[in-house]
Amino acid sequence: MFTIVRRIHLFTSVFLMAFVAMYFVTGFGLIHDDWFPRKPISTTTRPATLQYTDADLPYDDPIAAGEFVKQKLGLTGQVNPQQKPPAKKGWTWRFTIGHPGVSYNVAVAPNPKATTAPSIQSTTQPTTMPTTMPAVIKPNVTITEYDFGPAGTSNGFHRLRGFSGGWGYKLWSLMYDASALSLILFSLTGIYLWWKLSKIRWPGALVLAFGILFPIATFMFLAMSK
Amino acid sequence: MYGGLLVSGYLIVLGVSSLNFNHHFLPEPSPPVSWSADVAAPTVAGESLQPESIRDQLGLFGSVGKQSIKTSSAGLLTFTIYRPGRTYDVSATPTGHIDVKETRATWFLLQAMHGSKGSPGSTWMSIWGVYTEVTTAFGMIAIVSGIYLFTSTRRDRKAGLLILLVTTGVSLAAMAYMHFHG
Repeated sequence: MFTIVRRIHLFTSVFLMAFVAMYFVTGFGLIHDDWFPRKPISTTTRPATLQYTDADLPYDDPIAAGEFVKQKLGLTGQVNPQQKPPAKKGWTWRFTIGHPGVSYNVAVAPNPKATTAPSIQSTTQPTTMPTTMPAVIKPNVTITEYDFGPAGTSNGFHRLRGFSGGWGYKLWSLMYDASALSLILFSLTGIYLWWKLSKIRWPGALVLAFGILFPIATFMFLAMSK
Repeated sequence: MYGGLLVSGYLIVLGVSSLNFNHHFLPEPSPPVSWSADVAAPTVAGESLQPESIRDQLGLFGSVGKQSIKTSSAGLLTFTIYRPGRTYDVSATPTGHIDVKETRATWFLLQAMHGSKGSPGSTWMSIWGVYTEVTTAFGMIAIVSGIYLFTSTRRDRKAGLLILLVTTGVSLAAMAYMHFHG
């Protein structure tokens, strides 16, 4: 039993070394966001046109809708795993797509229609100018691109989760789950090993009591206080 | 070892909340509840109630969402207070009558505790913020000392090295893919 627990502790710690190291390093940047500002370093907006059917943007599958938009507009990254459809069918979709360091906010209005530009009303125009313009397709998409720079990229990796977006993201999510489980196992096996290895237990017991009771007390405080 | 015992509870909070970030298994927030109260309005002419003053008079804590502060032409002040696991949508008349819509997300407290560096107006949460710092520092020290201890043991060195190499390779490959390919 001891050997098995010791091995689990060792292997989870090795796993944590490689993957969770990134979380502790980027987490340091997150809790000190005054030192590592996460605001975009540049923002650009551009219009686009997108023709689609209801099947392309399924109301009950917003991730699939986002994947369609991403592909058609040539964007890269992951559709926000929390993506929601518009409040009502036929309203403008608002997607968040991106990868660590870059984020796109994409507003997709209902299908564009080929329209004729309005007649020119100005009396200052020469009378020989045609009163109508050729048919044009009005852009129905607005893409706002945010570039977050190095601190934002670090923040992006820390907050990256969800299984959509391609193999890289799936792999990342699997590693993410494994590292979360490793954190729990590492902690529990560590307590077991301390118990087995210690001859004088009271100093460790005091420290452990704080380490366990303080999070429980904080949870209770937040749940029960006004 | 004592460092590990000290942060063991926090590591479990981090692990459970991280799993929930990815899988959303914790119960959803309860429906909002509404309540009312009265606070003292400023007596000096020209002064108006401020969100932080209302928060303190109501005995609440948390940060006031700067983007949420709005005042109507009739003088009705509305804003939102955010604290771990709870949000308060507040509307206040100039005379000090307060209506609050409170949303509780008790299980999301685990997520709120994850990496929290405190909450304005709460000494307890400031101490939790220090605990967050200690855990982060311990995490970084443990990684470095763990590598040293690992290389000094013979048993399980090959298996551990293999896990280390595969994990490092996969995570770096995934990071490179997402950064350069998108």
